Amino acid sequence: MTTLLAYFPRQLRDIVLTRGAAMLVIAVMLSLPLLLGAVPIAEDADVGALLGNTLQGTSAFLIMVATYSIIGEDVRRGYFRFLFSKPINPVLYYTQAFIAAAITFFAVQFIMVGLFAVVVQPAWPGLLFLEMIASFVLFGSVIFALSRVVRLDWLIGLFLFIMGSGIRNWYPPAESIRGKIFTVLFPPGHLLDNPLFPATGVDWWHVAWVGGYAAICFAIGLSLVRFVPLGTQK
Amino acid sequence: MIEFTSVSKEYKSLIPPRTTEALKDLTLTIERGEVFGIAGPNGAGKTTMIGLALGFLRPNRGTVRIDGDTPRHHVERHGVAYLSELVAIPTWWTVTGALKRYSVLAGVKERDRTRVVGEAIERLGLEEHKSKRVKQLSKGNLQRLGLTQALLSDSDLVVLDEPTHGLDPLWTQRFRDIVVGLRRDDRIIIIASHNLDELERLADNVAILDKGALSRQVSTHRAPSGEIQHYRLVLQGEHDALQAAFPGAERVENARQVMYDVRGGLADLNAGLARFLAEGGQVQAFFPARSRLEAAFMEALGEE
Repeated sequence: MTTLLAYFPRQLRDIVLTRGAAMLVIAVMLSLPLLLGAVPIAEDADVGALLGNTLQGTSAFLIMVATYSIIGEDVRRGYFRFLFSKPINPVLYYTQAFIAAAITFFAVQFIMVGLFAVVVQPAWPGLLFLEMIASFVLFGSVIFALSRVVRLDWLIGLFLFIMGSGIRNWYPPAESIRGKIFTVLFPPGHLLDNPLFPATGVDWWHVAWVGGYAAICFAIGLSLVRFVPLGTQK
Repeated sequence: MIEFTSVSKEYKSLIPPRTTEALKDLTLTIERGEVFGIAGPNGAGKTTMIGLALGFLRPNRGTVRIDGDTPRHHVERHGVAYLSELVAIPTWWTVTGALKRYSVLAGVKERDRTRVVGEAIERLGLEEHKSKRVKQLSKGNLQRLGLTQALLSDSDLVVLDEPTHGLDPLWTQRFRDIVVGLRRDDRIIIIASHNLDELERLADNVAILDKGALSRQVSTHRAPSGEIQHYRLVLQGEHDALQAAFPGAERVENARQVMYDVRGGLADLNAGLARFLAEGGQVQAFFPARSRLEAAFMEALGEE
């Protein structure tokens, strides 16, 4: 445990160097209209909300870059052999890797807040930052679990969210058992379509659903690391 | 002690549907203090056997235990000095950076880290490459880096898969010296290699695998004196006393020297040699035509 904690700064550095730069470029490019003033800002506009919505709009892409192949790359490229011949626990190692990815994701978002303050005007997305946390936890955990199983984890993760949304329209959960089952099985992305943490009052059932779904996906990912030997060919 | 008990391992693929049996009913024991070799042709199951010993793979049938513990549990508690057949290290890491990282994971204390890494770099002759990125290393230097990271900790289990692959003759010899230096009563050293000469020099016992099965286990220590040996005799020139000294000696065809194959027990061969020299024969060289291991290997594979 102590050994792994000592290794955490290096894990973080790897993710910042190999993924952070790409994430920053993507975030800047997707926010360019706002940063360059192409999106007119009304005098009475809630600038914080505008910034928050822009950042939330870039989140899915950034989460994909932060977490794709987070386990799978070590397995496919064979890095796991030297790593896990050392006296460390792979489950804790990948938990740390996920935390490092989260820190990188939020660091990029903070840089974007700073950039917005310099180029446009100082603003804080407020409660919308909690939405970003929820997005990372949910989408990141789904990709994390998929990362041990498939190669194109980010694409399949994205597909699961889109499918979940479509299936809820085809089989509304209120109308059939099948609809209820699909709603439980697919990621609850629809709960993030509207603010999960609105100023008017939080629906804690929704928060628990998102958190619970993410926790289960994360636990599945860790269980796969624990119980499926890493040398098993995919 | 490492125990493989009736271990079988299969690889399955869905497209096309196929099952490959990599190991079949393997039972063997490797004792502490032993240097244990694993030999076999390509696809014989050497790397699978190592993967099972490290817990990177799980057997379909049978059990693998290290000191009574499951391999993964043992490795996570104690670590293993492991060099894999393919040295896979992130290519953007520098040599020193990679070794520092692995030393952290190996549990080397922070106050000792710089010294331990420095000594390891010196020991494996990587000083001039220490600032290079992994992607800039040649095959041989990458192999040395792999070996260096394996030897960062004082593990009681050393597993080396094709350790001299890509090494030049100088470093192959140095590697052998390193392995000799690693020998310890409480340590197991496992070496998988195609190179029978290397295993003969380093290992106490060698398991010969063929198509996933343990074909035979050979001790590389001295042969029993009565065992028939196959030697090769190189002469200065033809001599009439040869057939009397070594009945049944066969001339090696197409040899550039005057060379004969002779067979017999060690005592008979010595007596024959003494007689031939006494009769005025001139011998340039007298050496085993095949090592015991090589002979066992060929026999195990059904080759002459």
